[in-house]
Amino acid sequence: MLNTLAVALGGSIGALLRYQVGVLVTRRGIPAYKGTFFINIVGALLIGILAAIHQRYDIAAGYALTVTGFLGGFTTFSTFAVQLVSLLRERQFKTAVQVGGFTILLGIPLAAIGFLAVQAILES
Amino acid sequence: MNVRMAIVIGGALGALSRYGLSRLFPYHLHGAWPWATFICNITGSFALGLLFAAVVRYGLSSIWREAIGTGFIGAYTTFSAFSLEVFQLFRDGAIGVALMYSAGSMLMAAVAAAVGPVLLPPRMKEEA
Repeated sequence: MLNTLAVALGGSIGALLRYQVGVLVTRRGIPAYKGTFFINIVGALLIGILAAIHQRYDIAAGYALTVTGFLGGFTTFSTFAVQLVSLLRERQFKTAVQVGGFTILLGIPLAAIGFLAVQAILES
Repeated sequence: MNVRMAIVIGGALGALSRYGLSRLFPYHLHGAWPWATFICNITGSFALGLLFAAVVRYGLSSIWREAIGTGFIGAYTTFSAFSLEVFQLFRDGAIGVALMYSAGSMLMAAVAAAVGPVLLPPRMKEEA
């Protein structure tokens, strides 16, 4: 029950923060896909860090709140996919490849670095 | 209703749905395909493509668009868990699964997002 509430709370805060970043980005005339990119990259680094902390101090409700809830709600795969498709539709092939490539090729290593760095610190 | 309130409610429900799916498809075995995240990301991308087309075609109000799109579907799908899972697959030596899962998620999510609008029935006025 506590975990379920934590997921709901974290998810709503994450989704709201993602919306606020989107509003900020759009207001400055920055393309929306750059906002999604920023959100997903930051979220990937944070999940690595939090997963390493969780591995050391197993607190289920904390993981439910911060990882499953907040980071899950903050980062998004659906907007990423839809924005890729609209870039392809607009024939912005180079941008589409860059957005898709950089998101994956930066996101995964950042999750790895976050995890391995914090794991090393906690085990030292 | 306020847009932010709609996103809070949608976001909570989306995260809960993803959490429910992760309970249905627990991820314990090292090197196993992360089914829960995969299903969320593909079905969510399909749904968001469908929603955006519905907004254009049926003139869905912005409060519903934000509640369902930004709130529910945005929180239902996740990039952070995806990136962590790909890293864990690589770390556990399941290189093939890691490559298939990362490329497959991206490709299938894009196809799902593109297919959604095609399946949407045309507006009545356009048919008449």
